Amino acid sequence: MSPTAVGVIGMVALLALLFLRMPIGIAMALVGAIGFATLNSVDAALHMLGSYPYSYGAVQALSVIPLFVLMGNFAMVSGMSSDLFAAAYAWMGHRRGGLASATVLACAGFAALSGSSVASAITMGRVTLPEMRRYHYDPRLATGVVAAGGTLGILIPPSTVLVIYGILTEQSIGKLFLAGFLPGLLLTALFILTVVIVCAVRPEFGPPRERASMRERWAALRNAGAFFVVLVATIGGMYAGVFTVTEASAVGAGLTLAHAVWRRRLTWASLTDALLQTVRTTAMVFLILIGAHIFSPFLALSRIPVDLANALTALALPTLAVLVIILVFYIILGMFLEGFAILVLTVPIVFPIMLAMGLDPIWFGIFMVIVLEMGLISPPVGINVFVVKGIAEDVPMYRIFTGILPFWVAMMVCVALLVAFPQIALVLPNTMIR
Amino acid sequence: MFDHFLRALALGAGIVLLGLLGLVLFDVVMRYALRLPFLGAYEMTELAMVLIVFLALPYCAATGGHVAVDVLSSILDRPGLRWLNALIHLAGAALMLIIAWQATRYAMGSVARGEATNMLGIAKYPFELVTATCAAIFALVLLGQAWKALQPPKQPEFRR
Repeated sequence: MSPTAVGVIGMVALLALLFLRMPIGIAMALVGAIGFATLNSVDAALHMLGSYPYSYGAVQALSVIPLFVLMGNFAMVSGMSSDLFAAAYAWMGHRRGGLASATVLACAGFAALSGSSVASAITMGRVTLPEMRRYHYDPRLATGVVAAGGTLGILIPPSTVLVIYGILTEQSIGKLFLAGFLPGLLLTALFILTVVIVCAVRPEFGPPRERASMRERWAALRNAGAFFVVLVATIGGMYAGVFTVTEASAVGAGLTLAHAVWRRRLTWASLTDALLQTVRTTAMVFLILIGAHIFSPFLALSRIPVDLANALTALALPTLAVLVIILVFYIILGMFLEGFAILVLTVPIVFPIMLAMGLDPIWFGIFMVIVLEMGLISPPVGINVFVVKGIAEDVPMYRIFTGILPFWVAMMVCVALLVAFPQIALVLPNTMIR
Repeated sequence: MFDHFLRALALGAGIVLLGLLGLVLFDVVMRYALRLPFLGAYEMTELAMVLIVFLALPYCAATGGHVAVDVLSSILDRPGLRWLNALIHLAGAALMLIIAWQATRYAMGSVARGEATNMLGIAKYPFELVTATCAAIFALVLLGQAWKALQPPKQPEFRR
């Protein structure tokens, strides 16, 4: 049997196992090991299974994953997330749709503390959905804005998805993080613009509430001050070259821990809970990473990625056309697969194509994250939608999806801007101080 | 009982993580305040990562934390397909047992070669044995889930 045929069978088997709910990491390791044994030797495959878990666990650069996750969990304990919403709320709540705009801002802020979209949607949803209900916001706008705002979690640094992309493609995680920052701000602005447009067309969707006094506004902003300290120390520290990514993550976790202690929110129970949540997420990410590392030698032996890249470059399609094909491909995948799964399954195949076309690998990482985010909120399996549904149980699924639609369009605009002006992603990593 | 044990392992991972946090912060302070970079920090981080990841792996599995694709849940949760779900768990358990076996052999080889870290000379094999042991415990969790999948529904489920 030709390597390509074995590769295709392996891919089909992998997809079948995934749809049978085998955890992604286990499925990739299983298919990868069997495929490698077929194309190389059983001994080599067994040796890989014995050594890879250790060698891909013992990676210094990957300590950013538990440390940044810990930062997000400590920020939840310290109440930084609700402080953020309170501040945004005080400044914007009196405008039409102001609560929804405040939700977007708070989501963006929380995204700078957390690397996960689901965590962002859960945390901000619990805080903001009851508030929007109280002020009679249309449930479509309320749920849509939380689901969409949550996706900022993996674009604005830190981001678990960007770490995995960086590892799989051997790109600098620090550069990827900085590259996500401006597109994250752009998408935040586009989401707020979406809220404004929706509320201009349908004013009853987001009724204004009473205006907060200037004193209240400043007090709320001061209360959220700790967040800005963390933001400057982590992202600012990375950009200015004061901290490496690992150091920035440790400083961030240390600061949020100190904030939780200072606020007297750190109890034995909340500490163990934050630690358990963090190591659980870490184990989840690493199982996928180890599985992907066992799978990728098999894929390389099958020569599918190289052949595909050669075939596509031989077609000499314009770059834009290839990007559109990839975009459509990802949106379709996003309808059925989870974001992590799409990432580890497609990067080994798509990345060589991108390199062959001369696209910037850092830029492509950001492009890919936004496209994955669109999958996170697309029917039928958009995971953020389920998260929101879990908090707002009485809102039917199709109404949440209608609420998401305008934000989905905003993301499309963001992708278009990113393609037209790659500098949005590249200016920060290209000017960072090392 | 077993669940408490898994939680204790994960808490161990959490404590190592706190230690790692302290280590990196200490390293930053030493480097900036005293211009004395701590040379062992790099490899201590590597070893700490092994403990954090692998001690938490079985706990993550037991609490349903590993990412899987849920599109077909409504079909797969039919009672008639219990055997299929059990089979998927069993396949995972088999893989984890092979990993545990091979990782043990890898650790033995590491002992024979006398592998240790560069700066501090810490022996690597205990950490490699941790990966093997935790893979074996992971396999036990998956076997338990296979058994549970075969039972009629409405079993009380273990949560964090």
